[in-house]
Amino acid sequence: MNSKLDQFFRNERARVIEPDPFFAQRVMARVVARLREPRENGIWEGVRSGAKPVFALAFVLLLAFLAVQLFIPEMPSRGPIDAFMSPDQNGEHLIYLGADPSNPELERMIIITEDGQ
Amino acid sequence: MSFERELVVRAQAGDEAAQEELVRQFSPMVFRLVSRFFRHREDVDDMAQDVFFKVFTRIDQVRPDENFPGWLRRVTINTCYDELRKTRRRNAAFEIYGPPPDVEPVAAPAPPEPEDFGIARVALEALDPKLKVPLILKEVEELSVAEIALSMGITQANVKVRLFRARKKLAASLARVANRE
Repeated sequence: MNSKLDQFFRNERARVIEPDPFFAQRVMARVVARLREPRENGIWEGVRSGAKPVFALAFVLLLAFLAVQLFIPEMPSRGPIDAFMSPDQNGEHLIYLGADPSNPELERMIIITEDGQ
Repeated sequence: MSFERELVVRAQAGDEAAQEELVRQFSPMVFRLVSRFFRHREDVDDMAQDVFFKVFTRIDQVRPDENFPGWLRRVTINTCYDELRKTRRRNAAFEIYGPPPDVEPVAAPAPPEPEDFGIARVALEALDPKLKVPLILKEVEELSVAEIALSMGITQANVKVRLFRARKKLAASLARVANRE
């Protein structure tokens, strides 16, 4: 088995394909044609290929940062419990809650709010 | 400065005559290496063209102290490896979905070879490219483990593991065929 494989590999070593006489001209024609093609990548052509991933990553991070700034609402400086417990609270918020106006407690708070203004 | 180094520097500056001279000087080496992986002359010619095309688009990456033939060998091996992987994926897709309807299958006749080698050839072709490439480089191109590691960008230990697995799979395939006969 192994001798057959060795023979096979020896046979492979002897199998060589040589380039034809016009190979260099064909390659150069292709290279020159490629160089004359209009640049498709725009600004990317000026960037070294090794640096392209770094630039791409920086660009994506910049876009992600802008998206966070634009689309995610800013956190309020105090939470709902802080707001409820704070001393400057009034009954103004109760007007917009659709609470029952016949409630005497609510009525009192609304009157206090109106008087304050 | 050696003649070869001078050619590389001139080619880096965009001198077409120097680029053509590089192709003339190194195309026999590239053809020999590519023909280890591909059997048909047209495939070898196409692959060699791809290699030189890549070489001239990346020639600015060749450092002044770099060994140009070594760098060219790396580019050639990597180009062949990528093509073998693509071919394998394509063949796997054809097996599942069949060939695309608008593509006529081109059946170029394979170059004749001794009948005994047909089985070894089939077994070698069936190997995964990541095993096949180091095996061919070792057994046919007679490169050292260190040279294969450098050419493929992997460690020497990894090369040894792949060579071991490739030989084992090849032997198993051949034994299977022998048992069937």
